[in-house]
Amino acid sequence: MIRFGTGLTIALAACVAATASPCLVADAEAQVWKPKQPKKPAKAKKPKKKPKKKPKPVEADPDPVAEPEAEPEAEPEPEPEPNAEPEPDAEPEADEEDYEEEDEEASDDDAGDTVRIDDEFDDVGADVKFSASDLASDAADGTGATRLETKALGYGRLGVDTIHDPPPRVTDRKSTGEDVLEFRAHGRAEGTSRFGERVKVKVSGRADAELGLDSDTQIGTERYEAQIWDTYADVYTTWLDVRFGKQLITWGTADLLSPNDVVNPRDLRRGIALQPDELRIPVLALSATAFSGPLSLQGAWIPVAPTNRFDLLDGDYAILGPHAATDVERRVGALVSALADDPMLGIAVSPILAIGDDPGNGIDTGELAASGSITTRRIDAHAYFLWGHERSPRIRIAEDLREFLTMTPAEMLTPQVFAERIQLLAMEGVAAVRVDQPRRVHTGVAMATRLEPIGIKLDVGYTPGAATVLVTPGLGPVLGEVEKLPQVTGVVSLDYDRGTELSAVVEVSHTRVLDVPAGADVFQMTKGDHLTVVATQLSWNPSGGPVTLSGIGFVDIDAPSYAIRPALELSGNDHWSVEIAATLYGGPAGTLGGINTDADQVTLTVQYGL
Amino acid sequence: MHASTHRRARVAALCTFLAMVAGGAPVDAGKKKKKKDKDKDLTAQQIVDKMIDQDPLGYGGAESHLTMALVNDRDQESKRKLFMKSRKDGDTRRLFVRFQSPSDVAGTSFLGVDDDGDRTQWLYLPAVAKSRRISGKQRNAAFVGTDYSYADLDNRDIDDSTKERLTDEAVGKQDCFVVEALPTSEESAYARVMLWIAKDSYLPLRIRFFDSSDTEIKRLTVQEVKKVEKRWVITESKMVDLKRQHTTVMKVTEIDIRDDIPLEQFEERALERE
Repeated sequence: MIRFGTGLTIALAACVAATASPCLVADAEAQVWKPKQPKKPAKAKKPKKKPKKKPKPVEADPDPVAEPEAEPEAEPEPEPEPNAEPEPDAEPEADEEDYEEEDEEASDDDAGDTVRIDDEFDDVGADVKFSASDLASDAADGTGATRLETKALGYGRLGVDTIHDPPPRVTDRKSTGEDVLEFRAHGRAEGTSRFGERVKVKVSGRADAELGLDSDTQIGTERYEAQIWDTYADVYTTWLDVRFGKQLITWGTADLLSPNDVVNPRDLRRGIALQPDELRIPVLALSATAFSGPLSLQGAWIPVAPTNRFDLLDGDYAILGPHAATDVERRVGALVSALADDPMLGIAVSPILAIGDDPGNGIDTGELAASGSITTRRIDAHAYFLWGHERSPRIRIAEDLREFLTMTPAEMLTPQVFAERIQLLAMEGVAAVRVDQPRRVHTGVAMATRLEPIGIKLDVGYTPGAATVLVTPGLGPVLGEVEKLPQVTGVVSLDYDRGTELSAVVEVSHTRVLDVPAGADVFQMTKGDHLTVVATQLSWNPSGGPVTLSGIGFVDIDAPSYAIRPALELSGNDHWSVEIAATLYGGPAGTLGGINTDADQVTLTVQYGL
Repeated sequence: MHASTHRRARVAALCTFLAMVAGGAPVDAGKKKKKKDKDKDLTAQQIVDKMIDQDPLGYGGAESHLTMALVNDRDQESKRKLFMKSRKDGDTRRLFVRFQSPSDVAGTSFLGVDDDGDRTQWLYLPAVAKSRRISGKQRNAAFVGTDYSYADLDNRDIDDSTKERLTDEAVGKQDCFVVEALPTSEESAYARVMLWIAKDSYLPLRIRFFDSSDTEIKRLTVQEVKKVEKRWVITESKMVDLKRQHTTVMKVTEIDIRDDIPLEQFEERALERE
């Protein structure tokens, strides 16, 4: 199957840093930038004393300071004039007469002696002029009383998919996901207020508007979404930090594949070949971290179990969509799509449509998390414990329905027959689909150190009972069975940095599910009970220039299958950047990359930010 | 005698008196001479120690806001705003930096602790929501795209070096000690560093960095210094990477000298607080 997508992304972002800020130093005038003086001849004579009461310099003033000409080095220091005003805060050893006072008024000020240095060696590099807005500070004051920062960011995306693979074998279908023209506008805003040095409040949100057009069906799709992102209040004491609200609790040391990064759910609606911060969703929690020397202990209460976000029917990564894991899932998805809007039969598939909903977890099904860390000069070590829930729902299909889907020939599997079967089960008191989030206990350890020039991180996570989808080899999860089995994952992560010019991360993860029954395979594990994934992340900005090559990729070396996203970014200046990226998936059906082989695309992103 | 002459004489006498009370001319001249004699006796190590004690950035115990301009060899300019705070306890210096804008670096934070030569640095990247240690040769890399290396921030290559005092020179009008430092660390990117340190303030007004082929690779010049609460600080400086023809200009927009910034704001957890 070959698919090539083209994307054009138009991005608009606005980032406004706004702060009311009285100056920290009394001499506000001295903070105004003054144009650099033209170089003077080294041996030129200078007047003994600069003019007094010079008007305050302004940006446009070509000679605001009227710096005297440089004097010969051997020339004796000018004697202070009798009416020279004494330095109010002269340091005993400081010979301030040697410094040329920039402004008499400034020198009167206790806080404001400013001296321009005219160095003949300052003849290399660029000359920079700062505007008034450049020099406007984001600080309210120096005592940390209150500081406000606001930031807004937005971008848009327009994409075209040109895949021409066969659609699911059903006559009624809502969307094939072929030849999709897509536009996405994404906005972010956040504000942070600090009340002294002990209290901080952060509010942030993200909004999306997505418009798509499926050229096969000429059906347009749209989605508008506004989400509260990390929004919390912090209280800091000398030994305890407390945070309440939606927050990121990032566990583990590995950057990409940490098995201990289990607290925050993931947004899987746009694939997995994304940066971690695009995937993690903040979780509502009350957390407290206590510090004592090299030790820290964190505890967190999560009142409502969070869930991964995913698309059920529409979208390139929908679990029952046109690009689902196997043909069975695609067929079920098409059936459900066809029935969803039917006023008579739609109710029959409501249990399936509810799969993506938030489960009814409340205070009773909350979670507890704890971690401990020790930081030494050479090694950071961590331990983690979570009494939580599965982040992805456990979906169990009724045995009768599973048999029906397996035995019924595809051409006879119409939406009406499908709905009737579900209704029949309901009449018998059998739920066609049961969805829940069972308890999951997670334990793990991690460490980080460096063996120059490489950073080394190790993460190990163990879950005594992980919801595991067992499938007949080659089949998808709909026809599988879910069992709770022990699972262990180890990750080795290596990183290398050369400042902002080069950053590379390579990680190897091995996951093994224990006690897998004979004859069964764990879904997505072509070797039956284990999965080995190599992940890499690269960013190369040659010579700090405008071009950055980057990439993120995951390769399942057992399958083999892959999900990679190479990208090239061109930065025009602080505000604009253009990125062209390809997202490529490949591999056998039902594997990590094979699931999304239809989701290949090329995108062009234009982003603007302040 | 003319009335105006009397008035001038009285004013001159009063000024002389005030100058003397304030440690004026005659006393000042004595101090100058004493200081000059003292300067002659200073060794290169003592001068550099004083410079480091003063803190080359001049913020040993301060909160400051800076605007930074980065200019590449095609004269493309980008501006960044950052917040910096520092604390000095004896021989232990701590520096915290957080970038505030533009959006691609906003939230990036740096923490450096120099405990009498035992240096530890962390960088927090909001994209991965984790802090990462910076050590060894990694510290020769550019600090968040600037022309300063991580090692420049805590003067590793100046502190850990054999030093020799050369003939004094002036930078502009400022009399300076001239010190040649030969870094001893194998991890250093420099083979030789030349420093021009102001005799009055012990601020480095010019630093030239040379590689092993004795080619100048970077140059720091200072455009403006300012006295804030009895402490001279560098308020505008320019670091040029001569190889890349890349320039970093830093301008302090606000500074508040503080010795009471809580210690916990210089611990690793502070990075994630931001």
